[in-house]
Amino acid sequence: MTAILSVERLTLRYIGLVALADLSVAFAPGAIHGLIGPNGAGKTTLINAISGLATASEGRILFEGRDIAGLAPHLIAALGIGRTFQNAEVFADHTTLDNAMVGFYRTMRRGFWHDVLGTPGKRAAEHEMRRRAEALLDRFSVAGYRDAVAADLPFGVLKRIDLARALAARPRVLLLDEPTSGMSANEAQATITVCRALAQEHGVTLIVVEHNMRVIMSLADTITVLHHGEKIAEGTPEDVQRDPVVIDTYLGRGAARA
Amino acid sequence: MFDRVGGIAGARGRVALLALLAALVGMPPLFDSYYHFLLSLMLINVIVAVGLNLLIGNAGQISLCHSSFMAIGAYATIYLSTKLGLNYWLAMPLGGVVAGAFGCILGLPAVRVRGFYLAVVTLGFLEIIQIVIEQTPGITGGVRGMSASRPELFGVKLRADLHFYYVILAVTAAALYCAHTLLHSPTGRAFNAIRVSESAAATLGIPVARTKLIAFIVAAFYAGIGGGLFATLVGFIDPLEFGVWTSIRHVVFIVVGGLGSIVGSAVGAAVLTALPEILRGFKEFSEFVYGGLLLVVLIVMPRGLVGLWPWWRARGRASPPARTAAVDKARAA
Amino acid sequence: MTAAVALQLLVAGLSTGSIYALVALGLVLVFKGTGVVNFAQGEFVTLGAYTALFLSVFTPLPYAAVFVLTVLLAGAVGMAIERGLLRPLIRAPAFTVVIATLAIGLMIKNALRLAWQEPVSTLPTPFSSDPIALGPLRINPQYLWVIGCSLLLMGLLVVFFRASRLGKAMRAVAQNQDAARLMGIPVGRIYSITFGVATAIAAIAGVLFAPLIGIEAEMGGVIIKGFVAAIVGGFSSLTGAVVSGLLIGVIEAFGGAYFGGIFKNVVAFAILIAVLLLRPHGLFGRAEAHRV
Repeated sequence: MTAILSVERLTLRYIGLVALADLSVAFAPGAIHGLIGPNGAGKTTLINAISGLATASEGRILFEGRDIAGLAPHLIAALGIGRTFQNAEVFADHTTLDNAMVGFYRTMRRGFWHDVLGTPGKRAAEHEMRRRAEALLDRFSVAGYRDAVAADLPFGVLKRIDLARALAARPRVLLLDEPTSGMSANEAQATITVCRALAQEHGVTLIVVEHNMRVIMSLADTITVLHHGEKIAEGTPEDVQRDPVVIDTYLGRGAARA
Repeated sequence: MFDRVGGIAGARGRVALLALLAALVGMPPLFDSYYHFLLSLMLINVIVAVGLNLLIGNAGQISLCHSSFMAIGAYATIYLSTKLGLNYWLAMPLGGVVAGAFGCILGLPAVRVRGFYLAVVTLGFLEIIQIVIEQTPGITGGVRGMSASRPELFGVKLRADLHFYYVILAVTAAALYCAHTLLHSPTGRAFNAIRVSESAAATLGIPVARTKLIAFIVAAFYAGIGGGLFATLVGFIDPLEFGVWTSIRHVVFIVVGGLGSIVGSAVGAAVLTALPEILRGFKEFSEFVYGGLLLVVLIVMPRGLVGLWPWWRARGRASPPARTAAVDKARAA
Repeated sequence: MTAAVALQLLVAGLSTGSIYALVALGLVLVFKGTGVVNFAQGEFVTLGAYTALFLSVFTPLPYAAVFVLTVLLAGAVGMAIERGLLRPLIRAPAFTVVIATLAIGLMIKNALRLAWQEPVSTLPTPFSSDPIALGPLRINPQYLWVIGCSLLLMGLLVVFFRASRLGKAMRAVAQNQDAARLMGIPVGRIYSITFGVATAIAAIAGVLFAPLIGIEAEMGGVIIKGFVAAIVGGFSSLTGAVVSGLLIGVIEAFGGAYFGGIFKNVVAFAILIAVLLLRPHGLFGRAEAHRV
């Protein structure tokens, strides 16, 4: 398999703390990869490093063969890597629709002069963006919140808005940071189904950080387990669930029987 | 009637806008030239305020040197039309372009700093421009100032305030249209995105620094156009006209009107330009009354005049309480 | 430049620097304590100067009493303004509060201008303006008084914040409002007191500044130097504000001697730009972090 994205010997040190330690993981294209581990294992840090919001101290991050470590986040996004956030990081004083519309910046912007002069090209693009945004919101069942201000909405809804917004940018690889946190079992299931469907429709590689074992075990093709910034196990969900090291550090005896 | 960025929306909005336009076109000939002058001044400040609002209210930056760009536009317009003999209708927009170029110069360091640091960088820029104006009398007439004369349009010199007023009205309409369409575009959404969360914006492919730079340039251009019109309207400019208090007045326009709102900024600018004239009767108390009115308006409508509109009340709830956020920041520092 | 001249410039510089330091101190105190950037701080300096002038001219009180009374009055006014005009804006956006403080400053300045018809006045002090001779040096005793007073005040503030209950309560509120409230600290009252202390400090600066430059309605312009000092210091550090204020005063004095008048206006901003280029968070500040 040629990985679409991989990190090689990635190390990230903060003062007094090693968040990622010589980590190497490869992600196959078109697949769904889970990333699990206890709190503080480095999962979000890894996502931050790949998306450019954190700078690695050592190591490489290869996207389609090109080292993107250290690139500015908007350039990484321009290459086709998108992400969602643990805390949703929605634009709080925007409506749900406006949040989603921001996602189209990368792919549908005609340019400054179109925008400021209001050319027919810009107008047509605006119509299309609006149409697509509403379709996305509908897929995630948040269309009813279309004109509501994001700050008023419950966290589970914000997570879905974050997802819709990220998918609007048509990324090739999407990093999802705890996409179902704050959701009920049904919400989580529905959200994950939509994610997987959209990923398949558009050929998006998903890398999913999750604490919800039921979700990730049924969703992922491969799972990587992190602990203290290191990889302690990797394989299919079944392999990982049975791995004694993983059971010891994270899953607990109950999971092995599940 | 207004949408989320204070633009016109819906049928009621369009009707109101048309009615206003009709009034602004049809009614002034009924009044005497003092009102033509005052209205012209109000419209110029509308242009200036709307430009500043794009930078502060939408893009979330800070600028305390907006008057410097008015100055640059004013001096450039005069220089291009008198010293270089350019047609005024070319010189005035070029004055705006020159101001925009200086906006880029300010933007280059400005996009790297935030908060008070940004505020003081812009103050520093203002001081530098003041010094440059004073020290280059060959171009600017130095501290003695420069005079400007009215241009000709189709062979007719626009000496009458009423005639020049219609020019200003046309420019204001164009400026408002561009601001409106800009905010309802990916660029405009990028402005608002970087204001709320630079991280999220960047991961969606928005080039944060470049977007801020564009905002600085656009705001400077608007101020430059306003400055060029101002010089021609008043007939005389000097560096005192464009000092820090003028810049602060511009900020007051948009805060009182409603940060982030085109309509709010326009109304704030218009009302607060007319207010000192209305307060003339108070003579030496007028500034005191002005300050007092300002305070009352802000306490009653902390989100500005446009806060009377439900959209803006909703927006208010969304932003974190100002002081606790600042206090949290101080704690992290 | 001889050592004597250099020393004289140093004293003069430390003296004006102390004023800048006090203004900056008040700004940072209010910001840390309440989150408000008080653009009226300069006008409170003016208020202090005019109050002292008023008391000196219309009452038989000696300088010491005038000084103390001015400080108390200014503090009271500050507390009242916070409680009456700024508390209602506690949840308003930052810009609104800024403009509100500007409006307050405008009103104070104009009230003072109306109340005192003379454009420039002087404050009678027990110190003559004649330089005292210390060997080859000629030093204006006013300078020494300003420096001495400022140092004493800063020392008192250090003790106050470290050792007194009120000082610790103010620090608690500055760090974490909600936690402070949960510990039973009356946050609103602390806000008022913080503001009152800051305006009292500004008033002291006004009383000390008055003999150096005269009393006039525009003397609040010193706030700009105060801002620069506060930012160079990191805007979150009281020590930083003081050190930067003194630094700016000294560099201005020496620069003015070498390069002339224009330099004095520019040097504050030049220092600011230089510091921000090298240390973007000011000399004593620390970077903010936002977890995503």
